Amino acid sequence: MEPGTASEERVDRLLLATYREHAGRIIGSLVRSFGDLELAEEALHDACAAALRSWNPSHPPANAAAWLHRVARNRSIDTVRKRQRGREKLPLVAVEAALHPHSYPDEHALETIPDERLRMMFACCHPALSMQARVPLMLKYVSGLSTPEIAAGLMAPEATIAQRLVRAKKKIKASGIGFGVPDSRDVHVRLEDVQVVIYLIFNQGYFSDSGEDLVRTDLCTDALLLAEALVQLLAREKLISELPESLGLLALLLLTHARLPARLSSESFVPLEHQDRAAWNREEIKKGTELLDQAMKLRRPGPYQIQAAIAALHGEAASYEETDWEQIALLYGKLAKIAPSAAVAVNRAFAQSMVHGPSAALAKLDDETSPEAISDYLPYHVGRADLLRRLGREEEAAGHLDAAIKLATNRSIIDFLRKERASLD
Amino acid sequence: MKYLMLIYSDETAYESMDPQKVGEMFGAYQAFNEETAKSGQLLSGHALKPTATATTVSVRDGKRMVTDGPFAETKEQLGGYYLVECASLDEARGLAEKIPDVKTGRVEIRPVVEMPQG
Repeated sequence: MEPGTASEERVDRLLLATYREHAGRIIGSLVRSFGDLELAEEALHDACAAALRSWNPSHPPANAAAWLHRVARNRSIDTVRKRQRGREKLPLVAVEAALHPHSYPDEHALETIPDERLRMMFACCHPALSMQARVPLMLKYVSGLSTPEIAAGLMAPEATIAQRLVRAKKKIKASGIGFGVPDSRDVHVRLEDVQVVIYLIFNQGYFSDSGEDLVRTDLCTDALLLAEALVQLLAREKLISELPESLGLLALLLLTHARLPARLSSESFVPLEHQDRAAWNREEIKKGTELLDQAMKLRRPGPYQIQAAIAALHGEAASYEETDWEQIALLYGKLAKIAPSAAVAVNRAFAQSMVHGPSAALAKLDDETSPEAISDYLPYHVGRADLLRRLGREEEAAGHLDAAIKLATNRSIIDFLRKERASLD
Repeated sequence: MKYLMLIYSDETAYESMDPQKVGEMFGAYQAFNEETAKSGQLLSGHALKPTATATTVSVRDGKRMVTDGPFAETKEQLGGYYLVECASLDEARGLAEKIPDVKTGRVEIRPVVEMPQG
């Protein structure tokens, strides 16, 4: 094929789309069979190169994903056999799979790639790995993003992300981090680690940490897909007791995502108070609320379900003023008991101020927050500034807004805070 | 009479199930468990982990054989069971029809051989 021709572009596009949608499953399946992440990654890479060489643009493979999986699988078997001969050290799993390549019950099973992403999620979020490594690992090996895509999403230099991935893969291999579902004693805590990473990915997309874009919607979508896959795979593994919180997480992300269209108005940040609720995605609010109902019927409450309930209350309110702030304050109170944090304290105080007025809320906020926890916490300064402003203590409010502006790193947020600050002069 | 209800369904179906259906499914199981426990019909019941976790053992001529996986690869797999106390097969059948997986899978009802006491 001539480079740059329309035919080549068609193959490129098909490969890219197939990779994006199925790489996580393919890698998961290979890792399950051969126990070696590096091996799986190289095999898939080789399969992609083979696809570029051999796919016919006018007759592409009917099942492109299965094609990649099959070729990557054969490549893995070849590599393992070669290493066996060279007596390189291999995980026992890999040797077994190579010696008995038909570990699938029937050939047709290769047309549907087995979904082993749950094991990959546990491995990527293993407590032995640094927190900084877990998000890139998830995005690369479960969501199927490329290193440049991950770097763009996380607003970090590509070299930094590449380095984190290399280090993490070395750690996985050297310390024998396996690719399995933890046993019943550990699975709950390990799942919390997975849920946190999915939540972080969503937040990266929703609350951009730095730079110009306030919202990077691709990461939000990736987080939603991960949260959905988590529910499906937990159901398959019959980890029933873990379903409610994972359903809660998915509900929370959907309900939050629903507000996205109203969050930005011609590049400026619009706070909840002034968002055009007609722009909210009603379908997502409905779906999130239904998921939350399903979760709560299973009668195992938890922090994600509570946060989802709060988001649902916002979602169903016709306006800021008509929001059920009392119920929201109660829910934050529940959350404060089981998962306390500066964020919870600030949000709770705010909700209480909507019911009982800013004075009582301010007192409560000061009661419940320690100076160390909140000095660098942007929402604290914004929240306290608002309470003070409503009490007519404008000079103190201005002080907090100044602190907030210093802490903010996003252009749209800084602009918004400056406007608020200016309105006090 | 005691009956064992063996629940067969495609365990991979969950992989593509709408999360809301997942919630509905397990909520329905919870409701079934509560209802049959209250009525005294439920003696025990468990969901089983997927067949990938199964091990099959046999001994022939003193030789032990262990295979990784269920005893047979089938399109639908044993996913759970209930042991119930019912007055008749018809009553057991009525219960079986309430098991959520009966809509997409199958439930086998087998009377338990009860050894006479004493």
